[in-house]
Amino acid sequence: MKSSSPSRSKRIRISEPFTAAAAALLALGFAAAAAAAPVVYRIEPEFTYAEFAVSHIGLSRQRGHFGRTNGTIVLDPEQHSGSIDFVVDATSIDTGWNVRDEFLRGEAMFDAAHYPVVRFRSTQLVFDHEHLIGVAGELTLRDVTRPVALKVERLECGKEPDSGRDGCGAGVATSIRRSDFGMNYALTLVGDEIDLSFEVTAFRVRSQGEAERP
Amino acid sequence: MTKLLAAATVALALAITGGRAAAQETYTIDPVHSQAMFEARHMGFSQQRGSFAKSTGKIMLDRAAKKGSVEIVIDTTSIRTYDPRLDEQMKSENFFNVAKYPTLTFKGNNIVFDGDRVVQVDGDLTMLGVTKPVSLKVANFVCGEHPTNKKPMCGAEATTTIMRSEWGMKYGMPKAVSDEIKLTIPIEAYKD
Repeated sequence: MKSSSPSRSKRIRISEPFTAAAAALLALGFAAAAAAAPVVYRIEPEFTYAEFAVSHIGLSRQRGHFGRTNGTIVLDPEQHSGSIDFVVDATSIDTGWNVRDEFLRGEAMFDAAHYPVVRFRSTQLVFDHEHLIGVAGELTLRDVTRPVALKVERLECGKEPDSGRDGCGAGVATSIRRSDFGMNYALTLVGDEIDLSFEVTAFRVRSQGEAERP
Repeated sequence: MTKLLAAATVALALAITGGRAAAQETYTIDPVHSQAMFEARHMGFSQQRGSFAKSTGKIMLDRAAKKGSVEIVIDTTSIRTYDPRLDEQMKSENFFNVAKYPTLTFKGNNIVFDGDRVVQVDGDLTMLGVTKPVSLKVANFVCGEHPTNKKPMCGAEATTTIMRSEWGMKYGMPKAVSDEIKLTIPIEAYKD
């Protein structure tokens, strides 16, 4: 190994233009690394969709969604780190039928009067190289907190065509058992297993403070 | 011999009438459990969804002869996304033009069976006054009775993918809202 050092320094001494090019590349590399430091995104509720699907009386799959969501995403793909804090307003449940929505908001199901918020907080982000592929975290529903693993099915970032804002879109999915969260009503009619899918659009914010505004 | 012939005739007559009564079944779609959903790509980086809260329809099914027909009428004014401003945009002339075209209709006259299960329905989709052929793939076709009211019924999930431009809905293409739209219709229908 010792013998390689002199030969490398010799080569550098020989080739001045090569050195300059290497220095320039290194500087660019640092600049890129600085740009790739943790980036904070704020969820755009208008383009974020939290949907659930459940088997109904064994005959069909019924779906609904929550109209109000909020949250902050921090991503540092190079360091394989970041965090996600995602909040769903349980009172905003919408299945296209008022009678059913009222029932779902009621004590038997979400008990939204007591527990108006459903929250997911990440504990660990899972990357495949620089691609976010999963999120381990905790879901709090009806005041019960349980570990939940989210699968990131798609994550694409780019500029929004009209505004030029930097944004990311992701498709995220998981399944939970509602009985794990104490939601045990009518399990023979409405399935226990709930498929959750999220279409998330988030835009980059300039400061953490901006991300935290209500 | 004449006795035997008479008996055979009676048996045949019974079989025909009995067969007819048993074979032809009419089902009425339960609107609140049959809400059509659509999915489009937005700005090239997310899938966005919406649905129609109101739909009505009839299904004629002859499971013995393996044929039947389907008619689903979707109320375009009942469109709902996740955002009221977007709902107004969807109702406007740029998209569904609900003032002029308050319904969207699927009429299927060719039902494809795999054994006893319906797996496909071929028909026509009328949207914005334009009628084009569409095939619905049908998954999880199952019949039984409602656990609490005990009425006989069938359920399924129908899906298809269309290019909205074929019906003349071209606003915001290709990037803001994709041409390709996936439709999913869960079905629950009570036997009449």
